[in-house]
Amino acid sequence: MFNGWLTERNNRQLLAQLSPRLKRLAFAWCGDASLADDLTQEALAKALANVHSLKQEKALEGWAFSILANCFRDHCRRNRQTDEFMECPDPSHTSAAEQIDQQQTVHDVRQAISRLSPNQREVLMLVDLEACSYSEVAEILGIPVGTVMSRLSRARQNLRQLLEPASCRYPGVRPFIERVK
Amino acid sequence: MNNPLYSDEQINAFVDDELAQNERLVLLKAAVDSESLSTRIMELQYLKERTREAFPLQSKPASGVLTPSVSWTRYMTAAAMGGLSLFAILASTGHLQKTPVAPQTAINTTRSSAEQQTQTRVVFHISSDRQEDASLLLDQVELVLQEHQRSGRPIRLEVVANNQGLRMLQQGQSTVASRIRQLDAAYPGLVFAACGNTLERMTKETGEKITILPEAIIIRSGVSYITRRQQLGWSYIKV
Amino acid sequence: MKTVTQSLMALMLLMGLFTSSVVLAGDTSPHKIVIQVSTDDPRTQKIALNNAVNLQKALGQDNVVIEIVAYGPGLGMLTSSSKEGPRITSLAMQDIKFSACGNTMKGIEKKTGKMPVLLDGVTVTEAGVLRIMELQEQGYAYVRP
Repeated sequence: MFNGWLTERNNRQLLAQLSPRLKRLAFAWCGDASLADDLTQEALAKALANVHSLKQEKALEGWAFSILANCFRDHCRRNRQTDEFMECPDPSHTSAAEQIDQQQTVHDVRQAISRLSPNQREVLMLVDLEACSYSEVAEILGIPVGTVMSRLSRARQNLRQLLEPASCRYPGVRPFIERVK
Repeated sequence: MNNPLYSDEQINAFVDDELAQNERLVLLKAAVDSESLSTRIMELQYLKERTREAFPLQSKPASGVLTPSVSWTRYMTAAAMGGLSLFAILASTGHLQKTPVAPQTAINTTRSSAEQQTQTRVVFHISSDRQEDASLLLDQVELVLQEHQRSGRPIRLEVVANNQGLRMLQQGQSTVASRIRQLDAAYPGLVFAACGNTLERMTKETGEKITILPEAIIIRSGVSYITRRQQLGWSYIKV
Repeated sequence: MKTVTQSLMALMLLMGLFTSSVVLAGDTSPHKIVIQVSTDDPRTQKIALNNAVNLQKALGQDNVVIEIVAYGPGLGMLTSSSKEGPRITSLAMQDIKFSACGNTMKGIEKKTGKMPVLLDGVTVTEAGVLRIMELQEQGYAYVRP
């Protein structure tokens, strides 16, 4: 009994530490900082209310991510007509002064991601931001691994096309692959 | 797109580190021979990096705060270690559980990037249940820890066990349990971590109740944990 | 606007962390690879040597630095009792570096009373694992066949 209480307290602590990551994931999914706050709060509240049902802390991260995914999906269903991605400013507004390379890249990438379908965004962000394995993503979102792979592949294809003109601006930038496992 | 041998899915799996070591090598070798293939890999890798960079962690939780209701509302603003904290969370909780006053905690508060570099960080990986492998692993771990202690260099050393390697951390099955206890007591910078995915699978398959040694923490996935460590510049040794 | 500046700052700091390792990785030779041999399985040892040869061939001898580090049961590959002896000596002459774990050698001496004899072209390193860690810190890619 005492053990159970310890685990629960431990889980609460882990949840608290997870909150910045949940917030980042929510933001990457929905594209709106204040909505991301709301979704994170909602997910954390649900998680804290049910934390006693969680037996082992190892499952905690995936469990919290799937709660967040459900909150995000609920939100999408509620707001079918409105554009969930509110933070995509008009490119014509970007003045020359604002064109610091890095900022521009971040802006471009976020805008491109906002054009992906919510399904693709969910998968892409879990893989890229949280470094989840495909099987973990499958479990979190409740879809088969094959679907994870095809959604991811389509998400990246689309993203590449959306970013194509932007990447031409930085011909010198090359990615590195130096570490081999 | 003119390398029909590899599908986009496969190349994605490579970039996301989902391939086994031998598959990785085969694909790497093919990429060396094919410019179109290596370009496709590079493009995907680049895309992945850009996506990651577009969403840096904005805040980190106040460390050491015990009541969650306080800690998750009181964010610190984006700090230099913001990115690091994301990946360090699992490890640091491990430290907190074991040794509330581990030297790392003291280093953390004042750590600059220069100090960060002088600290050795290495993750050992075991995935076999051969007794010799477990012994060899602990020999090497002890050697490295001793060497650092002698020269006074700070070190963080983590041992990740998955697949059959989990046996090493299983209560009642481990042939090296007492040695793990000794090492754990002697070196505060040492962490043993068991793969939660493996644990779950083994429990399902065998139906037995598997208990992990009290010295070890349980992580979600051994492989993705190691990958994150490597991305942060940790050295990696597979025994 | 404030959040933009903040995120930009965090981003730049993050970039700084990552680029430092990239710079390290790219100093002299474009590719650096460390290959670990820690098993006495002859097949694995053969694959390790093949990997080294193939990588050198594929990338060009001048474009890649390769070091093979043997420790534990893998040490035998670099001693006079090795089945791959002549091959290793000739590879050592072609810019592939072989490092034997001094610690393992001491252990063997303690057990058998005899210090193992290393092949020509093999150098001794204090401890194999430490060498592998050190090389990775210098940006070497890690391969374990």
